Amino acid sequence: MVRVALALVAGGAGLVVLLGYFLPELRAAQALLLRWGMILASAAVLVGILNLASVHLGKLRHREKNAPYSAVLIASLAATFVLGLLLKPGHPVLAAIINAIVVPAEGTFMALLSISLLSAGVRLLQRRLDLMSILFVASAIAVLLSSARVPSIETPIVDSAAVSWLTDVFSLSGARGILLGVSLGAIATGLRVLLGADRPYGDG
Amino acid sequence: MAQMACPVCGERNPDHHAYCRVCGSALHEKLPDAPSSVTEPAGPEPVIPQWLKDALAMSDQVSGEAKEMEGPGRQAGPVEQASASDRGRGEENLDWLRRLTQGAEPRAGDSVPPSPAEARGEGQAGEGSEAGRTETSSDQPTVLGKWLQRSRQTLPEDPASRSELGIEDASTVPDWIGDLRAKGVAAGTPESSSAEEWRRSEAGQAQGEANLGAPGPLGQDEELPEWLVRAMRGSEGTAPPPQSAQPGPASMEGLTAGKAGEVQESTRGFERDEAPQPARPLPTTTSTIEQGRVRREVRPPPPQTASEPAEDDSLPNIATGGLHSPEDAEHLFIDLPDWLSGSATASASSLDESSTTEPLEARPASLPSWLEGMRPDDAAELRTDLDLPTGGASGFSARETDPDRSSEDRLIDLEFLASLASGIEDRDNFPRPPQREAPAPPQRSPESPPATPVDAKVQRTEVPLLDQLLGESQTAAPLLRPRHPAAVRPLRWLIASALVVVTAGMLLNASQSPIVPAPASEPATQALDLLRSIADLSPLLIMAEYAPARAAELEMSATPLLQDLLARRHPRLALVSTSATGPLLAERLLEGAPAARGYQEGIDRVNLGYLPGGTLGISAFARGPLEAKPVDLTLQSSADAQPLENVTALSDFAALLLVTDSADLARAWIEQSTGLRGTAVLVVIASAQAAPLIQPYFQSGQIDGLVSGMQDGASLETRSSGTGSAKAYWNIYTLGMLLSAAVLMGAALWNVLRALQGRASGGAPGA
Amino acid sequence: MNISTDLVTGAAAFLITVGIFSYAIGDNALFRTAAHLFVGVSAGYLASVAWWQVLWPDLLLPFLRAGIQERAALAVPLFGAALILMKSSPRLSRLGTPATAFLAGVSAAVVISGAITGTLMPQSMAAIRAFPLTSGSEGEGGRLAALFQVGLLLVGTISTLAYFHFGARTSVDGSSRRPAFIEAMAMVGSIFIATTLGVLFAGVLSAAVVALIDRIGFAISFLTGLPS
Repeated sequence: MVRVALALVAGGAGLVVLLGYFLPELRAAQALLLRWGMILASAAVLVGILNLASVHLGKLRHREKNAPYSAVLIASLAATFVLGLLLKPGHPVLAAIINAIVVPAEGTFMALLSISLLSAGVRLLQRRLDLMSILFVASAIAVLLSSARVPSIETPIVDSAAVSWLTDVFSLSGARGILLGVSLGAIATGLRVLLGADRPYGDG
Repeated sequence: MAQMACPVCGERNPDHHAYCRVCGSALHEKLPDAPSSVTEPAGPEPVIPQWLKDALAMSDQVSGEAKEMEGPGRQAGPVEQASASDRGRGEENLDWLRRLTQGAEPRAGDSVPPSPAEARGEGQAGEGSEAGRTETSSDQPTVLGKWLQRSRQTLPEDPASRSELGIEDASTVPDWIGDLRAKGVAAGTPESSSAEEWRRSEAGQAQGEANLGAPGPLGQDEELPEWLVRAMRGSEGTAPPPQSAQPGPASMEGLTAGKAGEVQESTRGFERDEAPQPARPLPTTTSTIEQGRVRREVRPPPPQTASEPAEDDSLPNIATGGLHSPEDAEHLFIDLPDWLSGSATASASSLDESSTTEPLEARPASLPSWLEGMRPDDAAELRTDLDLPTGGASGFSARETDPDRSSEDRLIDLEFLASLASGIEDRDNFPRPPQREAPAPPQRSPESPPATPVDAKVQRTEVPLLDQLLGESQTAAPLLRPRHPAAVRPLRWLIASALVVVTAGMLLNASQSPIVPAPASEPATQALDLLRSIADLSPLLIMAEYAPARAAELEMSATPLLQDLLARRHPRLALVSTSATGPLLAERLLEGAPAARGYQEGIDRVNLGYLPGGTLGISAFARGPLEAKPVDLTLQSSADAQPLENVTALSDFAALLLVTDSADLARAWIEQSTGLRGTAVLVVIASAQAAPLIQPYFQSGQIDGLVSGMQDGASLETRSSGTGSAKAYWNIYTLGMLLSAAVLMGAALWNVLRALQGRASGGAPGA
Repeated sequence: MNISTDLVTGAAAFLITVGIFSYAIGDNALFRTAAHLFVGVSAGYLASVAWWQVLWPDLLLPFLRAGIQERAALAVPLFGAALILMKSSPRLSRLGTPATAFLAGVSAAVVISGAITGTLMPQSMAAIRAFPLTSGSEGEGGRLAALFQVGLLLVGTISTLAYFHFGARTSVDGSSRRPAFIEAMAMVGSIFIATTLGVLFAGVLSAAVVALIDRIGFAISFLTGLPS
């Protein structure tokens, strides 16, 4: 009974939103449900952060191996949250904190990714040598070379026309096929949720 | 709930129960005295009544059938034993009956008609299975009352046997009598009340009367118990519900004729751990079956001993029970001891010749009406509703009405009843009402059947598949290990050092001549041209949909375009983002464009802030920007923001500038704004990693321009003669690309050569 | 001593950069500290943004200031948000299921409509419209070249879709196989997919290299600018 009710909630709300695209009479209801969804999504963000905090507080409580790092996380989370509550997100202090910690950290993680990607590319053909992997590596090299220049030499290493065939035909068709497949999958998954065949929210 | 222990088996029972729900023994020492209001039976009949003859004939017939089906080595069950003894004593029993009718005292040596306890011990005391019972008064006991008393005196003294027979002591009324009464075979009829009176009189007489007079003649209809009357009437259908106020066994309360809607009554009558069971032959061996989460133990009835009085073969054979309809059997099976509940109305034909134990099969015809509707077809639906494992039979619908029952209790009942309804393939099983106090998980013995009955067809088709799946899951897939795992870390160190050294060297060597980037791609050129074509001071929406990780690349890519636009057209800016850090990154983006330094917050630009919900928020914003974002980052009203003057819809913006590193976010914005943008130009500034997947949208015309990564940024910067960091880093970038390509090429050539060499030498390629 | 905020923020950024960069050598305490600090600050900022940008201005403040009718309308999302918050407790988690069901339903509807009108139909039409059916529309290279290019595009799109077709039938020997023509098309599609993924890989690598350049440049500029 609970499961049926939950499926009705999901299906009913989704149906109103879906019909709002076609029926002008339901536009207002659609907009209302979308705003409610935005509010609930924000509450869900808080739930995720509460869960993060509780996990690390548990590590602290049980004095686990990486407890000092959890202490750093909890302390920084609490401090930033309190500062954010007091100063509001647009405040220059908060902007400075984000610029000093978050942006450099993520940028550095991205920089590390270049090293990992290159080492993975080196080992790719070592582990798997077939047509697909050769094509993969060859197309990557071609695109990289299209941007590469030898110092003091103006001429590009690879002709851009050849690379454009790679990017504008092969890559484009593959990307379009991927996009179509993704959209078909999204439609199927969404319909399953609306019809109650899939219940990602659980059974209550 | 107050509970009391059974004096025989020690099981805990609710306080209001009169009989133990496990062994059937009376829980209280005495039953309340029953008023005796029986009337003097009429004069003896000169002839044997037809119903008795029918009962005897039926008994002989069933006994004969049972004997025919008896295979070699098969132990005779109590049914067969009873049948055999019936046949042997048939003639003898007729003698005493004749003497009864003639008013003579029973002679010594005459076989005494079996007591009701004996009848129960042999199987099922069905309707019409007892002969000559009649109601007696406490003052003038009738013939039946007297022989009943006599039979009680001859009951085995062994408490175990007595408990097996369901008799606590001589002072208690036999269960089967109480069952029959409470079942209301003829409730509401004069016979019903007279039966109750008879029962009471029996109870009273059982307490104190020692001598029995000569058995009197058979009583008239109104003095006969209900079951007897029904037997005489034949298959007259079901009896109305009982209206007895007699506090009989608690399990008899509310029992009605079998109808689907009365299931609840019936189950309640079992004190929630017993259920009406269809007629089944009795087992001859003790077996423990697993059924659902309940372990059921079946004990066979004790074999007949010499101390037991000879049975009264005037009683119909238990195999048939003298029953004339399935409803009759249904009434008789309620609240009987376990070993007694297996007597079959039509079980003789279902006996398995090869089985050494009594077969168990609930034939469809023998199902009570309230079980009739629950066929295996309903099993799937029920199990789906209850999340029960599939492939089995079902019991009651999940819509069982008793709200006080826990789901676990219901599940136990349902699984038990499922076994009854489905027809268990394994004939060694004999269900027993589940023991509620120990809902243990199924514990299977090697020989025990599956915990839940599974349809045979399902077993044949699906079990092999399941075995295959289990086998595949248990075989671990071999892990691919690098050939030289120790070389991975040095490889990473080498690559890292090369990249860092080259990059740092190039950064420190500022004297290098700049490399001119290649001309911008067509999408980037188109984007620049379209943005240059918008009107001055028109509203421009910037969606900063990228993570801080790619802030550097996107700032290098977007700054030239933004700088050119802001310098040429000075549009009013509105910033929004679906990521929490997006508004701050948008501010950073503007700080990189010198032309934006003259922009004032609230006058030339407004930061609408964080848009929650991902695609949901984008959809809401596309349909009503001000409704979706009523306040900006500084908590001021968006509608009052000067940069958003005359802007009420997405189409009111002159251009939409989407800066993103995610193809998914780009797809979301493109999809949700389709049909809502009007004439607004949509330009996407994408990271190099997302651009290939956004390119189809440009090719289809859904977006008007696409700036892809640092290469397009640098090219645009060159074309627009603007300032930015793209050209400053372009040399290093191209060298970095060259280095990366070189590393990949070298590794690829090396591995291919090694593979070819390996093939040439006959080794495994590429391993 | 007057320490400028730029110095403080710069020093913090430098330490974070070096700490996370140290992972190239191996996992160490400095890296873990920097990573946990980053996660904590990000989470704290996200929570404050969710509060100040959505929950307070769009829910609580209107609820407190509004009249009875508006409060009744806002009571639903308020109640829903409270139910969602119960998801953080294992015991009360089930109470939040209706709210998540609502979210799932609305999100599914939004995705469905967007996928149909925003991708499926336009991309399919684009694949058809790309064919140079009229003279003069083929652009440079002539009609045959244009036809070949567009044909290759179409073949690539369809074969890529076929690659992701997973409908299979059980054959006589018990194995599951796709139909033969699907298998053939999937093999062709794998060529296009491998090419696309290679281009994507190059894009990610180039973005990562840009980030590397930026971070090293920042570190060098901080160190060289430190004396001043």
